Amino acid sequence: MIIAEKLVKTYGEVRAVDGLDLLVPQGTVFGLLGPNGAGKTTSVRMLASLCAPDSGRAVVAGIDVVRKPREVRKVMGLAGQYSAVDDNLTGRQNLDMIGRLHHLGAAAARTRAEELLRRFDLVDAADRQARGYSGGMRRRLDLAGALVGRPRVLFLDEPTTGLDPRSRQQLWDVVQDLADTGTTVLLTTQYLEEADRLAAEIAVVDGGRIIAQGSPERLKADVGGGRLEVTLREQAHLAVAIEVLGSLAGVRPRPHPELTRVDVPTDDGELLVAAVRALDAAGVRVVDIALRRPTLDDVFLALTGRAAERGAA
Amino acid sequence: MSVAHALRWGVSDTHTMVRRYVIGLTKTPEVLFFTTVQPVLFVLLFAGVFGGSIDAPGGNYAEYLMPGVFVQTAAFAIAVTGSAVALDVRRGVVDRFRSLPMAPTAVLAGRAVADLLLTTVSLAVLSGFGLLVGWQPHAGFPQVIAAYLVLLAFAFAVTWLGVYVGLVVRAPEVASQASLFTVIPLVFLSNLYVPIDTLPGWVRPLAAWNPVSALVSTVRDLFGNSDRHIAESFPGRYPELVALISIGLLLAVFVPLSVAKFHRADR
Ligand SMILES: Nc1ncnc2c1ncn2[C@@H]1O[C@H](COP(=O)(O)OP(=O)(O)OP(=O)(O)O)[C@@H](O)[C@H]1O
Ligand SMILES: [Mg+2]
Repeated sequence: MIIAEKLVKTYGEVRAVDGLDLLVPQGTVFGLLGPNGAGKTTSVRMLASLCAPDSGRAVVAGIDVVRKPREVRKVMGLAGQYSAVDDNLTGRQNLDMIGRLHHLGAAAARTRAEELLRRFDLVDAADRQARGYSGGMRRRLDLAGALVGRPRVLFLDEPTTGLDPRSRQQLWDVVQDLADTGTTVLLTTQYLEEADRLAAEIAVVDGGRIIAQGSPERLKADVGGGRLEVTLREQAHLAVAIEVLGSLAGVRPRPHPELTRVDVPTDDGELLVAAVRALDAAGVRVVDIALRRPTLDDVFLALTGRAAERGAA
Repeated sequence: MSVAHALRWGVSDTHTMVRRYVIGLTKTPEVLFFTTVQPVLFVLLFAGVFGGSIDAPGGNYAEYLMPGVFVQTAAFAIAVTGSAVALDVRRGVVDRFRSLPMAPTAVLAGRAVADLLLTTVSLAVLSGFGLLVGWQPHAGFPQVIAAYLVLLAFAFAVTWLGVYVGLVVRAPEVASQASLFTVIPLVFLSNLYVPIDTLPGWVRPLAAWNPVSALVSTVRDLFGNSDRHIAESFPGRYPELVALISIGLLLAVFVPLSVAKFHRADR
């Protein structure tokens, strides 16, 4: 279980985390969703005992993080935003070292390293220097490192940023697996899709504060799901396009300020085909038409009425 | 947790960390190469450029120069330490270690011990080279051992300055320069290359009170290589005392500072 109560961390003028309250029940996945500079990393670092909050309280697996950092470190695992891999060591040596530092003993550390190498599909690369690993392999090795101590609570800071779709899928499966076997997971992400896939509960953070929280279903309902985005060649066709699309979808499409783009809220893939036919029949020339899934930007637009800020970071 | 228990894990964790750094050093042989070749180059250049013109005490410049270059080698090893520590902070490796239930000071102590091993190798190679160019100890075996122990104690102490600079600077690209900055003035404003009485007037008091001068004098005395002490200054009369106090002070200041900084390490 993870509990945060009114956590605050400031860096000079910047309120990196500004009163964070969280409750993550044992064996569930919690997603912190936010743009650059929202305070995700700072939150994770405070909860994982790496930096002391200015005020507030954090409890991980029943242990007060500020008072007993050493005890917390025995039961948690952390994969930070940047893969903390020693380039000079091989994959196996990296994991073996972490096992020893968990005081597993030499033999057990070796066995555990072997297990994790297999689980993360790194057996073939196990005895190569990590320097030569691809981004995805480093990420997997880093995550494996976080699991060496069989943590009850796992912190993952943007675990799939920079991964290709296959590696991302693999990692999602591992996280799902861990949660199914009782591990509590707090992950941060900039992708709504990822939070949606994994998390039972999502908190959207911005400027160090939670601006919305709930199940993925509830958040998506707030955002309004996906949309069909149509870009027109000529502004003159806008009125016709709105009428055609409106009658197809049964809702009123939103024209964009530049007046060559129309959005229709929908999750229906078939609408795309129907729209192409109908627009063509009406003589509307289309440059681009696509079904867009809701992104973090859409969440922000829906929640705050403005685009997600790209922070200083 | 009992003290004995903590100590046991502290030692075991430090051992694990030393292994990590030593593997790192073997995988980057260029570090070993340059830290060893650089002082050799200094000896060649200085002996070549100044050898004839300097009125070296004892008449043999190689004998005068070598103890100084030993000290310089120990001091310049700080560049390796500083950049390695900064790189660990930058790469998030420090965050990884701090998330483990290990003895936190083991990360820094391991670094200090590993760099001490590196300096030991450099000093051994450099000593061999010194013998080739005409340097040799004239003292008994115990004094020669004592000379090397003083050098290694200094190397260990100065490593902690490098650790601290690495933790504070955090940018690996500048950390090695920044750590060198802290020792270069001390190395050059001293009796390391030339006797203090041949330095410009304004430098002489600085050089006389510079702990590096005291250290170099101590090492020269222990090796039995001639030195010209500046008898009217306190450090000139008691170089051993000043050298040991300096080493102690370095440790007393930068070990706790580094450990405290490590606990608050931030990318
Ligand atoms: N060590 C630090 N010193 C100064 N400011 C910091 C420090 N760490 C974070 N900040 C500031 O705090 C704010 C939150 O940063 P944080 O790294 O927690 O955001 P984030 O949500 O993880 O962003 P990203 O998606 O870019 O990783 C930012 O404005 C950042 O500039
Ligand atoms: Mg971050």
